[in-house]
Amino acid sequence: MNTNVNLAAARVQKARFYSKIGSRQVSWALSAAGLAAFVGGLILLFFNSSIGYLVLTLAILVLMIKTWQAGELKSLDKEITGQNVEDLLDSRILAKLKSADPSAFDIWVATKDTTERWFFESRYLLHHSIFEELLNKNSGSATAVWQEASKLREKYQTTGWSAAIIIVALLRTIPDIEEGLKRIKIELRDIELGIDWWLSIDRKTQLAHQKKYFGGLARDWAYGYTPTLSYLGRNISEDIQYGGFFTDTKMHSQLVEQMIKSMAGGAQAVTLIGENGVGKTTSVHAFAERILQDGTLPENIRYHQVVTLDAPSLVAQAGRPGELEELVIKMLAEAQKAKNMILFFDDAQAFFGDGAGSVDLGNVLMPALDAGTPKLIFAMTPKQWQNIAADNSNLSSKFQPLQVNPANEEETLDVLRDEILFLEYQKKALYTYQAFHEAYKLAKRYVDNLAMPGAALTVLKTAASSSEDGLVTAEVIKASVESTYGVKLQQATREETDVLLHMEDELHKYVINQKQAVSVIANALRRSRSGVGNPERPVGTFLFLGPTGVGKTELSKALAKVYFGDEKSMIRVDMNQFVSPDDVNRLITPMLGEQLGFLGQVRKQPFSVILLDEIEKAHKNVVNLLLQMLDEGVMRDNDNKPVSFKDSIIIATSNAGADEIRRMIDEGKDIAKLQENLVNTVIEKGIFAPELINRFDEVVVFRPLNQDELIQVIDLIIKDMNKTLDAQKVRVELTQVAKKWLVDKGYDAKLGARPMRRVVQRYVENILAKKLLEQTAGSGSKIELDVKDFEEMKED
Amino acid sequence: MLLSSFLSWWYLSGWGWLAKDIKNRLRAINETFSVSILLRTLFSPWKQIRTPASFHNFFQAAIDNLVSRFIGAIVRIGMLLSALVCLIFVAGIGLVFMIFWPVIPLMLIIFPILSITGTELW
Repeated sequence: MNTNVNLAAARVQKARFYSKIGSRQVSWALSAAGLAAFVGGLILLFFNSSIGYLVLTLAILVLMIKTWQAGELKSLDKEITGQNVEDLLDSRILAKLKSADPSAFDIWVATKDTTERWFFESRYLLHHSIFEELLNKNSGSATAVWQEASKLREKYQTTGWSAAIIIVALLRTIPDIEEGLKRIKIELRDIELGIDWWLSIDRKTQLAHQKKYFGGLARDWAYGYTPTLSYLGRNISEDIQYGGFFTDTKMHSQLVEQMIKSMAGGAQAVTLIGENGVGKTTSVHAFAERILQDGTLPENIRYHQVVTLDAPSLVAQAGRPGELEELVIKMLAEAQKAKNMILFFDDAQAFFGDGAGSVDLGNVLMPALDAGTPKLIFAMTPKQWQNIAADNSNLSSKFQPLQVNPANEEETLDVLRDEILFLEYQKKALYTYQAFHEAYKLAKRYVDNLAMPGAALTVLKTAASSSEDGLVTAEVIKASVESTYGVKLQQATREETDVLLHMEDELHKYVINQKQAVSVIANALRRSRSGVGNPERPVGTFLFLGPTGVGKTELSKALAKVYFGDEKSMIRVDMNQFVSPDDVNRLITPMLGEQLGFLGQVRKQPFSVILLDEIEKAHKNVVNLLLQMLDEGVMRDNDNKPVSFKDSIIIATSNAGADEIRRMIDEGKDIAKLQENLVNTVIEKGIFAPELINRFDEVVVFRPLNQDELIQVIDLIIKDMNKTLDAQKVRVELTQVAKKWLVDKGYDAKLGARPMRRVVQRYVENILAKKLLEQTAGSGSKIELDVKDFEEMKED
Repeated sequence: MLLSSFLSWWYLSGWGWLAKDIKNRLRAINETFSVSILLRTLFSPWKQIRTPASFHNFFQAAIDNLVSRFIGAIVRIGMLLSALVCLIFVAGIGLVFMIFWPVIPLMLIIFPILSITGTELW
């Protein structure tokens, strides 16, 4: 291949000429001038003025130029005849090249006015400075660009070197471009995908401008009237015909082919089975479009009209019992008589006694299904299909089931790229490529009521309202998901960073000692928020072992308060309520009557502290269920839908081995040694299975509090009390002796610090209440209590 | 260079392009007026309006259905005639263009001469 550009070649000349006359303004001006010259020339000739011929010459010149433009110049990039640079290069770039041996930078200059340049700049946030600053400006550097363009042309099977190919080829010639692209969180291969994406947009644009035929004016003259159906149903085919071009993707086209094959092959009723969000409705739209446009299809489906029946609106139309059935019978009869109708029952379960109005139209549909006409399409979830198959096997046997599987990542991104133009038009926003990836990633993690690609599309739709300037980037997607699901995804703010860095100090305001426990939790949160931790697992999983009243639950509460907002962010599950095998079902049922079950709460509030209290009391089957949650951060509900725990801190507490801890502490054993021994003991005694213990990030032993620490607990309780008294401007203080007295009274080797609050309540609060009522203490006073106050109280 | 490119297109592939363009326009008329559907369903009942026949109303049903088919045929024939007019019009103009195609570039020379000499072409 000659790497120099032959600027004298015919294609270059044509490209330059077309670049001058091809713009809309020049084209309009030429047309207007040609028409004026034609009319003017004829008028002049009518009045015997020979100048008319000269004027007509102008009209003929315009006619010839316009004809050449339509016949050849417009298609310069579609018909490639040679293999030289001037034969392959996009005609818009070719027209602007000034040198036969340009530099890579010169090619960029010639490319930068193309639509593709704006496409890459806006979709990938690929700023033009990357090209302007990093491209080689020496003549001869184009050779590398042409070589890269050749490789890309071969890879993407394009006709020539389109502007999209040239842009990617230019990038590939920049040394260390991958490093530069990291700043915009993208890789070169992502940008390469833009070639395919642009080709798809180009194809769609051409398709949208193409004249389409839907059978013509007399298409439906041989088919019957359908007044009721037209009134109550929504004619998808009409929407497509008059509302414009509809999208179709690789994913849908496979299913559409199956539907065509089934229906053309004689199947009367087709059932699309797939989870919500997989694209069942979209596939039916694509099917409707296909049978409306493809004149080569068999006559039994060609140009047929697809009408959607929507259960809620039909129920709303039916005023009295039995009217709905009458309406459906009427519509089926009309469709049967009309002979060109295909009825689409979206969310079909609603028609089979499982939805709006609790109607069961199975019996109404049976005669039509027996008669073999009209053609019907149903859409339902696998569970609904199972229900129908179980309840009415006679009915389900008449349906031909077609599975619609959730899209994988590649298919989802493909659908998103296809749908995005429509979405952008609706939302008046512009989505970047990075936003797609983020939407897919986050939808997979947080949207559990929809399958792909519906889940990712929902995230993209929701994010549009979070964007201030209409540009939806990956950061906007994160912000939108954060506000919708209450999780933390964006980079930590300065305020949050402060909390994270001083987490231990904050937690110690609520929990006395237990330094190791506080430290492991603080570290887990820091790992998670800095992106170091594994995002596919829970933020942290901990087993707290220790006697009652040493601060295990308090620490969980404190964590919820300090980092997760407030104590309500803690989801507490008393595992002693899950002691029998039957309790498994209760654990995985998201809704328990009117109340949210455990999984329902996590689904609602994924960013939370989950406290599994007294885990040793749970039944073995329940514990087995928890293993996957601890390992992969996922638990499946009774509908087999996953619930993510990847944003939660899971803390399991247990009193197991409490006596052992006390004994070891009394023997003066080191806490680290104690922990190791205790883990071995609880495994040996069969309290916990090794597989459960191994799934926790850390097993932390809480040691009993000593007297000094209990005094600190008293301080915390008094601090809390003073907060309550703030409203009355009263403050209570205890002498050191009084604190010790309370500790002596409240200390219980078995219950730890737990009785302490009760003792404070009994002595301090009661004395205080009396003083306030007797008005011996009033607003602004400071009440200092000593042992004698308590003893007096005791005597009373 | 540009002129020779233009002339080689005009007298080689341009002519073929014109023929294809005319063919596409004729096809568009055919599609717009549903010519093939009209021919296939020429005697079908109008909008499926039919009286179901039984032993008691055999003759009545036969007459009703005949009327429906007759009305259908009349409307369809009317539509086919309209399509035919359009087809003839477009084909005629296309034919004129096809015939005069080689002459059109020459007019750029002939017309200025006529203008200068003051000769009348007709």
